[in-house]
Amino acid sequence: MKRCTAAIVTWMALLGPALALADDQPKAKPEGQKKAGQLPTSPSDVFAELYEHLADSIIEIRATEDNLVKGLLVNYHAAAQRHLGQAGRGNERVMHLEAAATEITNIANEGDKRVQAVRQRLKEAGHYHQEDAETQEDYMFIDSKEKKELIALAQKVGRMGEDAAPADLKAVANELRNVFTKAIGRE
Amino acid sequence: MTVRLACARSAAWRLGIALALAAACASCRQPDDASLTGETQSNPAPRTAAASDAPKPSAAHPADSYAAPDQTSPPTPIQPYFTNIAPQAGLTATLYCGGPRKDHILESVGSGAAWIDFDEDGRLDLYLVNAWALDEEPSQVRERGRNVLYRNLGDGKFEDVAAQASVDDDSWGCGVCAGDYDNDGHVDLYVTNFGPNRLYRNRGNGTFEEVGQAAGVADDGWGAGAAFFDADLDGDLDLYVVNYIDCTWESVLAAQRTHVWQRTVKVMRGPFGMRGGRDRFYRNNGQGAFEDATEEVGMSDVAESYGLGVIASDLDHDGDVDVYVANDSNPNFLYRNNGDGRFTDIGSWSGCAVNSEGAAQGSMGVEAGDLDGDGVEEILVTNFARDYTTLYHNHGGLLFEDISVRQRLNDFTFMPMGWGCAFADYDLDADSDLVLVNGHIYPQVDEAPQLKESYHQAPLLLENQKGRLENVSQSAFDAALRVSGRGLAAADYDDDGDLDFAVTAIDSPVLLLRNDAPRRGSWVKLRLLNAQGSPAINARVQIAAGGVTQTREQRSGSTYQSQNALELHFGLGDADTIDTITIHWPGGATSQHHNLPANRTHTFQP
Repeated sequence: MKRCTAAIVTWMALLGPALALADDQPKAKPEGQKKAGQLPTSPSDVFAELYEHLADSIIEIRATEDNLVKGLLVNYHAAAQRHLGQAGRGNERVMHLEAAATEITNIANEGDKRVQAVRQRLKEAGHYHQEDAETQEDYMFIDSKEKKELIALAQKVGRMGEDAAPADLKAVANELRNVFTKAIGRE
Repeated sequence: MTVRLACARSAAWRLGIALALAAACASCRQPDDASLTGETQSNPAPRTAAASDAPKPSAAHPADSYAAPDQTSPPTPIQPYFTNIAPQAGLTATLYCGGPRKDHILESVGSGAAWIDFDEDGRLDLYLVNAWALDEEPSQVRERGRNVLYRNLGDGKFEDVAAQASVDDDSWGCGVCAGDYDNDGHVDLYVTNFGPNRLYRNRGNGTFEEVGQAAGVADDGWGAGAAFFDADLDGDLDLYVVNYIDCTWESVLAAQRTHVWQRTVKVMRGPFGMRGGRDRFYRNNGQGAFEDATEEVGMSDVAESYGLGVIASDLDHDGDVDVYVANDSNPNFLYRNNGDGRFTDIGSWSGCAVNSEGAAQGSMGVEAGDLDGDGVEEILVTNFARDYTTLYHNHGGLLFEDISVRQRLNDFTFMPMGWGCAFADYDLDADSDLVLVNGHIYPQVDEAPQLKESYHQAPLLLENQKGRLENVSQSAFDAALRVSGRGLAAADYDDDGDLDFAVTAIDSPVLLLRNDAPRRGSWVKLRLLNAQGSPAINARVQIAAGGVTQTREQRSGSTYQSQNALELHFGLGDADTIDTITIHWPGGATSQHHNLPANRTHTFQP
């Protein structure tokens, strides 16, 4: 609530002077006469101008989010491959396999638990249910088919156990790389 | 997480507590300690004066006409039937949950029920958690509902003794679980609230003392499910508390319906778009108090996952208790107990965090039970409307598989919104059936017939027919029995040998569904007590009778914000003798008992 109030205050601070300024200006000139750098001439102009700037910001923020999520995914993938490699070397194999499995599910979910806590606040209000297309289209890079593949792969890795053969470990590492490359590369 | 409440509300709470602590129940009977001292008692004191070792036939109870099935002809089709006898029994208090429009998600979650024998007179009593009634315009509190403790009088009637027992709190209540946290031999109650939770220490004389703050468990978030269990095997019960959403009372009163359901009606917002609550693990220090050890044991809820339900169960049978949390609209947690009192969440790759499509579901209630008779418990999770209840088959080793579609749960449970749930052998044919409580959260669905949804919904009874679930709900429940159901608590409250169900519902009195179904077999109930004489939480039993082996575990919490009776009930089919009972006690001891008669209650201690 405090955060929400702060945002409203900020916007009011921006809007108030702009509207006051607009009211002081002469009436709108015919289209085409407005020059670069010219102040808006009516409240409607002010709002349109503000929205223009807001849109620029939103687009920039979306691009930033894309890059951030891509960075997260690369990080999870690297961590999963590292754990699989360490599992292959035999030291604390089960621990590393389980850690790799967790990292793979982080890729599947496009985020770990901490990221989930942030992202759920940004979602459209409502509950998850199967017909909720908006919720299902939540992910930026991983589609539902890839998510299912990754979860299945995580289950496989998590269950490989102490006796996992090196060839099997190599196979799951390759499988992970393929799915990951496909998901990231498509974007 | 903190629920920031208006000062006036806090003041009213203090007044409520002061009132609640005023009275004591002098008429409560002392426990029959002599009946609890033996290693094995095949003929314990009955719960009621009328009860004996064998069920009594009753004209009003067609179930008692059971006869051994004719082996040469197919069994006669059974028409199960549950009758709501709450009004006749005196269970009339309305359980509130906000205003009629349900503008805020707090007004959607309802409250739970617990079956406990609080006064140790041998009869199961019913504790009901209550919330508040709100007016809409202006949005304000109309009435603060008080929690109710219905004492079972043994003649089919109950009386409210909450005030005398000092448990008539008027907080906005949510869930309840039971367990003897202080090892004094008496079952205590933990109640979750929107606001500080309560821990009611059972004094053993029919009254309770509220010690939540002093004991360090007055968690002030928005509590939902909770469960006692011994996480570190040190002989005392620790506590897991699920917290749903982090929001303020002011936001509840100011809420507007701005979310559009199915592009049709405006409904409450959430949980998406809101900050989730953080679950807590409280470690019992053995001195009557707890410490918040959430981070230390590896249960940090950094996902803030809108948790609602929890079961604490030794799901891999390795001798320590694991924890499964049902999260609304987010992946569920499976905390593996590492054996040293620490936990690792392996839900994401264990096969039980999301459904077979990889989708997190809007999970509410959760229960575990052995549906297929293989000796390990499946996990059952109830979910939001337009999604199915999920059954995770237990492959052992904490590896699970979603078999809901195989069991046709996608057909039976897709449209209803599921909450309380139970594995229960309602017809005594020696397997576990499923009981599911339903009810929508959006009253506005009733304004749009094209949605084919209803705010008030019927429960479901799914009968286990040789491992395959069949929907027998139409013959199980009266067509008029439709409520916005939430909590479910199973118990043989009338000691006639079959399981009955208490169902809580939004803005409604509780339902008491008496089991009047024709019986397919005999039964047995097991009371598993610890050294102090209170229920041994997480004791697990395998019972072999008539060539069938069944597994049950005695748990605190589970279902949805509710507590089943702390005794284990088995249907036995046509067996009249139990060949072997194997009990796995908390802490690792095992005991075996042979050739015990059916149709009675047996009590065991390690």
